[in-house]
Amino acid sequence: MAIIEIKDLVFKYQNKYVYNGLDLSIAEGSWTTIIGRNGSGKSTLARLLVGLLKGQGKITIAGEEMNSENISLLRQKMGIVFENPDSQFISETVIGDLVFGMENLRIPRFVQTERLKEIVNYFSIDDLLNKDPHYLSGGEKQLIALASVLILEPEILILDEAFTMVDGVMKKRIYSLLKKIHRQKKITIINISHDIEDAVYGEDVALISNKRILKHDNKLNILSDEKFLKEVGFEPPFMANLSIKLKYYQLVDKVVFDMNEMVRMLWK
Amino acid sequence: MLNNVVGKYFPIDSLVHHLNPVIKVISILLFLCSIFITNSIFVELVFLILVLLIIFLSNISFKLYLKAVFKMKYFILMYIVISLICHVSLNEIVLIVMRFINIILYSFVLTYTTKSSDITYALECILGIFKKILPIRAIALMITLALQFIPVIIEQTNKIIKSLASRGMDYKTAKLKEKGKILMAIMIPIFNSSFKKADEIADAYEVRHYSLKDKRERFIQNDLVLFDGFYLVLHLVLFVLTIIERLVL
Amino acid sequence: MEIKFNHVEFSYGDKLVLKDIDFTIQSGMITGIIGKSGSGKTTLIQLINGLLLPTKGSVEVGTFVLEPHKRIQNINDLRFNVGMVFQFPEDQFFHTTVFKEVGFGLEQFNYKKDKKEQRVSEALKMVGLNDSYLDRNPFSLSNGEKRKIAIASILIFNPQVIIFDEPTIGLDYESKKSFMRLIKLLKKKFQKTIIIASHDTDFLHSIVDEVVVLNQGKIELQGNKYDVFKQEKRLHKCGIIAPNLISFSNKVLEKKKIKIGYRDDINDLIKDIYRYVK
Repeated sequence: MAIIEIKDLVFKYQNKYVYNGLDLSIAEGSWTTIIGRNGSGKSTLARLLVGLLKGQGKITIAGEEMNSENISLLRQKMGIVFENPDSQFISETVIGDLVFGMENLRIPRFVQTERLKEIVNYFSIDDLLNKDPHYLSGGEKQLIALASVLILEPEILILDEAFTMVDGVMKKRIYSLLKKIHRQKKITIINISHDIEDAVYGEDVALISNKRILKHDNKLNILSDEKFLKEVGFEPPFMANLSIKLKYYQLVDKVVFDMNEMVRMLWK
Repeated sequence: MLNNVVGKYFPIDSLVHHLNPVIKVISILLFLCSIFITNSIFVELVFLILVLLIIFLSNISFKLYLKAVFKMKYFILMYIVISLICHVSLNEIVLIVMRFINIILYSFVLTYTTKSSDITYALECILGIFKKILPIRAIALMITLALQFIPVIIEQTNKIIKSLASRGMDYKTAKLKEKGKILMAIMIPIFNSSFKKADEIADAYEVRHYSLKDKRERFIQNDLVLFDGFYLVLHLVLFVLTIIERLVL
Repeated sequence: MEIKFNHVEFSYGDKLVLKDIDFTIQSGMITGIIGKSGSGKTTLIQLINGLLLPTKGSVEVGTFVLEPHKRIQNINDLRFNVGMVFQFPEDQFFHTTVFKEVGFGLEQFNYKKDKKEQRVSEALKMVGLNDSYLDRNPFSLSNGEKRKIAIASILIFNPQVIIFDEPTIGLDYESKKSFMRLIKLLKKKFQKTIIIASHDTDFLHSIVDEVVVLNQGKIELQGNKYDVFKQEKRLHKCGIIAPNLISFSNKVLEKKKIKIGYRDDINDLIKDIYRYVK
């Protein structure tokens, strides 16, 4: 079942068409990476999904078509983490940020306390609670931003280029958490990125190019199609790229994304 | 640097930290009224002692408060010099300098011990009586964001000045006229990035379901205790005594 | 122009940001300054063009010596020779036309001002933009184009040393490739000394010669890129992930005890793998 259905999306910015009839369908509980080059309108898509921008066409969230009346309600099903870690903070303490959304939704205090405890354990951020979010590292900021969003238990999580300013080790930590949450809570994840390596996580890949979704398929099909990716200005992610090249030399017989698997395959 | 126009919130435990923010804001208003109403140095001294007491209860090192006053030393010195030139009486000068110091110290106690979101909340409650005729929440929010924004804009300004310096326009070594030119030049990028930031923050508030109308369920609700009552009454009493002193003398 | 850090310490108020920084950047090489955000990279590079002065120790840049509290007489001469491209330059434009923005440095440093038009065009060409951009407002361009304008505005006065602060953040694959080509050109054809502060180890691995890794203000590792990048555990401690090409060779060594060698090009790696598997 599609939890997000976009039909015929048209959006103009400064008199130029960002989309001229974009269709996209996201299955419930799936993890889709939306890949696009700089300037392809990826972030615009994120903003349209959460109703910060309004375009023409139909956006349906969990069966309900988005309009100006139900936007606040539909937003409660979605959580979004933006690209800039510095612009998502409300409070001078991490705790203040974590509870901000719950306070706005008038969630009862005892529930707030419970959820806070849960998320702090899940994310292992006990040591950060009293710190000022503005003084954390970029990666820690995004970690807190993610926690503040997930504490509201959305059905859909949108990551809008959220890893752009996150360093390597923290990135892995956040992906680890996302995998766990996706597995345990069956949350629908949409990860919007310009970095093809991000597509290795998750199940499906949708490619934005030339004002529409050019291809939407499972990650194996898209990430191993070297020719297609080159046409749209990308290269397969490292492991997939290595697999494809080794296939020419008949050293391996399939495309893999995991390094351990690759080593096992090569030296059986 | 121009950092810390107001004190940054210190997340520690103290009697002052636990005070209800509405009580704190009402008290500072009473305090401010008092020190401006009075013409007596003795009264200013009494209020200075009050502030020092509150500072003591705030569990924050007194050194930090001293630093705050030191940062304003040029203002104070400038005022003294101008007043001496204009033949203002020594009594008046001492009075006004004491007011400066009292205001600085009390403002810092407030901002060191109160989260800006709590100050917003307090402002909303106090201005709440005007709810029908003014957009209270919006106003309170604007004040808070302005306060939160100051260090951000200052940081951004520093970055931009460094960028200019790297291309040959160094603020530190420039003559006065050049300094003026530089300040003009940086207006464009500062405005640009400020608007961008404002946009992003507005989006963040919106997607986290902030509403300008609906009530909020605050996580930490500072229930009123005896100390709150005592604190407020103390300020009220001193305020009344100040008025009496002024009227009688 | 050789750059030497001599036991440099930098404090911001009472906060120690850099401690015992001691290393040399050779002329004509590409050096990577690596560390996670907050490790002190930006502070370190700002000590090179005099935006900051060390609080202990000294920084030698060519004939300039930067020491604590010592005001440099001709700071513009230093900055004329050491150009810096800041992070997110798109936030730092000062003019309403690309022509004025790119030509600004020329005016300030009083360098070949009579040839301004020509030099602006040349600088734009170097970053892959044509003259049609001259009258456009830099604020209205795409992020990629803005970055190019910022780089052009530094290249125009031909500094010997060029410093880039996190130049690849937010750049997609094609943009990174063209930036890589530009850096290689600057090194090979113009013999520039290039310093790149970044946490993107895959990108750095493809172009740098030497690297310095910072962790909480101290140098954790330094040296030739292969020697540094293969030490994955220590990099991990610094919040950094080793480049994929190095990581893979390490993984093969770890799991199969086979040393296939460290490469900076995937095709070379393939050749190594072929040799060892067959």
